[in-house]
Amino acid sequence: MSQTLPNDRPSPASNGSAPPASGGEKPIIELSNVSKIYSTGPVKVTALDNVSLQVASGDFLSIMGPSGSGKSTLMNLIGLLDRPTEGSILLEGQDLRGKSDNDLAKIRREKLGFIFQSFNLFPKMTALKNVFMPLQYSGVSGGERNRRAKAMLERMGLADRLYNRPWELSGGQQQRVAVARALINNPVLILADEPTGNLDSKSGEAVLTLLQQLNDNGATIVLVTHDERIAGHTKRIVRLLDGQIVEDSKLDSPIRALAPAQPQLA
Amino acid sequence: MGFFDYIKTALENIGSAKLRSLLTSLGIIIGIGSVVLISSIGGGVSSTITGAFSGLGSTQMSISSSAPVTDNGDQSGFGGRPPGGGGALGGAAIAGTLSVDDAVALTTVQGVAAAAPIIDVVAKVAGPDNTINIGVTGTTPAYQSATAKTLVEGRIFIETASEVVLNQSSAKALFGAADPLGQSVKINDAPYTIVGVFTDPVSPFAQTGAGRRAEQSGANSAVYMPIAPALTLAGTQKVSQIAVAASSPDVVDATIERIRTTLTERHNNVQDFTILSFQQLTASFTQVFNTLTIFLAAIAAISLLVGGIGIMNIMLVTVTERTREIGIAKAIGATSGSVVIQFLVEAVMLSVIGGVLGLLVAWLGTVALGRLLGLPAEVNISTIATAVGVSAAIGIFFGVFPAWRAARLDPIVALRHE
Repeated sequence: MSQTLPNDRPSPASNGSAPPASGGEKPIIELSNVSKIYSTGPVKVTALDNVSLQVASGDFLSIMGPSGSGKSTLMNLIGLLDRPTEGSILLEGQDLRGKSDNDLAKIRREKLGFIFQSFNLFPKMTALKNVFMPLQYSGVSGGERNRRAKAMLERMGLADRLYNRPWELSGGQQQRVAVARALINNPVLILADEPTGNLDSKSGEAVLTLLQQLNDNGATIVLVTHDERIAGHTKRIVRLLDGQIVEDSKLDSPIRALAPAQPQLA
Repeated sequence: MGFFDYIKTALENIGSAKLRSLLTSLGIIIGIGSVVLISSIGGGVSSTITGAFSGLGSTQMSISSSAPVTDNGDQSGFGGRPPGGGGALGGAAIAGTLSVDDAVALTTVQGVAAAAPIIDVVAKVAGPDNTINIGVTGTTPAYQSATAKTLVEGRIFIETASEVVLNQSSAKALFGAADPLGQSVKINDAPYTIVGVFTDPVSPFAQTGAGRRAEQSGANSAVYMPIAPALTLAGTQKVSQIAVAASSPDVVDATIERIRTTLTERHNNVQDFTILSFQQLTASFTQVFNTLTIFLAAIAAISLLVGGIGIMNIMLVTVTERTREIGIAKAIGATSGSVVIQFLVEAVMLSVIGGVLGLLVAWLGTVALGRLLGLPAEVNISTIATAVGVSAAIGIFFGVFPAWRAARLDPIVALRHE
C-alpha cells in the first residue's frame, strides 16, 4: 500500500505507469449496483440508478454529464462524503457499508485527496497550514508535518508562498496549494471536482499538466468535468445521463497538456 | 490532532476578530470581576473585623444588667467600648442589678480567669492645663486581665490607693506630649496619681476614615479608677457590667452557663442580666456578613449567566460563518469529535480569557478600594482558581450546543454553503 512508500510522494501504482488494469488486479474503488435516492417528503428523486464502476490503480478517469445527470452525487459517493441508498462501495477491497461517519472521515484523510473547483482552502490559514491540516487531523507531530508540507509546496513551485494566505495568492497558486493538500497524505485516489473551472485557461492548463504528471507517476485520479476538452486529457471517460452510465470509453491518445510544467514532480 | 493544536487554532480564530472576541468576553469580564471584587472586599472587611474582635480576646465575655434596667442600650457594651458613649452627663450612672460582690463571686466559678465589675460615669477630669468631661471607668485591677488591656507604660492601679490609669487618648488630651506617669489629675476635685497608661481601645474600624476621625476627636479618651470612689461618684452601689475572661477559648460556652447558674442563684432565681461573649458576637456578625456577601455575589453572578449566553450566541454565529470551513475540514478528514473539541476549546478560551481579564479588573478594584477603605486586598489563589474554573465551566456549558451544531453539519451541504 502507498502508506509504506516514501512519505511525500504521490502513490505510484505497483505496476508503474501501465494502462488501466484490464483484470486480475484489485480496483482502487469499486461501485456495484449503486443507487442514490433522495426523498424530500413524498417526492423521490433518483440521483443515481444502479451504477456499477471500477477504477483501477493508475487510471485517470473523467466523469462527464450535464447538470442533474448525477455526477456530483457519484463524486460524493466515491469521495466517501455520502452513502448509497443501495449497492456497495469497496475501497481497496474494503466494504464501506456499516462504517460510521468518523470511520469514513479517517478513511478520507488516509486514502483520499480532494481538489475542488473553488479550491476550498481555509481562508485564514497560511498555505503551509492549509497543506498540513490533513496531517494534523491524522495526529502527525508538528515538526514532521511542517517538513512534509513544505516539501510538498516546494514541489508545487510554491516555495516562496509558504506563509501567504489564500487571498494573497492567484487562482492557479491557490489550486496548487489545494493539490499539495490533496497529495500530502499519499492518497490512493485523487478526486478532482472541476479543478480548472475557476481558473483562466493558462492556469487551467497548468493544473492539467500537474494532474497528468501525477498520473504518469502512478497516481489514480477521478476528475469531474462538463468540458469535453478537459476530459480529453484523461485516459477514460464515463458519461452519465439521468443517473445512469451511458458510455464508458478509453482514450487511446489523451491530449497532453502543453503548459510548461512549473512544478517539478519527476 | 493534539490538544495544543486545538488551543493554537482557537487562539488564532479569537485573535483574528479581536474586537468581537473582547466584546463577547465582556459579559464574563464583568461577571467574574464583580463577583471576585465583592467577595474580596467582603472577605477583607469580614477578616478585618473578626481579626480585631479576636485581637480583643476570644476568651472575653460581658455580663450586663438587663431586666430592671430599661432601654439603656447597654447590652451590647463590652469592657473595651469607649466609655462615655452610654453614660448620662452630670455624673448620673448606668447601674442595675449587678454588684461588686457578684464579680467577686464569679472569680470562684470554674473556667473564669478574671472578673472585673465596671461602672461608667462621666466626670470632670482636670489636668495641669485643662479640664475635660470624659468617661471614667470604675473597676478593679482584674480589669486588665478580664479585658486583655495592654499597658503602654506603668502598671494598673491599686484598688485601695488614689491611683488612676489613663489611656493614650486621655493622656494626650490632658498632658499633650508630656509623660503623664507620676503626674496627678483631679477627678471631680479629688486628686489621683497616674500610675499607668493603657493603649486605646482597638476599634474594628480603626483604620477607616470614621475610626481616624473618632481618634482625632478624642472620643476614645478614658480614665480608669478604683471601683469604690467611682461608685460614690455615680451615686450607686450597683455596677453596669462585669467583664469576665475565661481561662481558654474552648471553655467559654460552658463557663457562660456556670456564670448564669451562679448569678441566677445569687439574684434570687431571677435572671436579670445578659451574658454575651466575643465568640458569639463574632460568629453572628460573621454569619450575617457572609450571608450578605454571598447574596451580593449571587446577584453579580447573574451577569456571568448573561456573559455565557453571549458566548453561546457568538459561537452560533461563528458556526454559521464557518460552515464552509467545517465542510472542508470534514472532507479532508476531520472527525465530528475534533470539530466539537475545536469549537468547545474556542468557547472555553473566550470564557477563560474573560475570566482572567475579570480577575485582573477585580484585583485592581480590590487594591484601589482597599486603599480607600483601609482594608487588606485579599485576592487569593483559591479565588483565582475558582474564577478560572467557573469561567471554563461556563465556556463548556454554553459552548456545547454551538459545537454540536457544527459537528453535525453534513460536509456536502457545508461545502455548498456560500
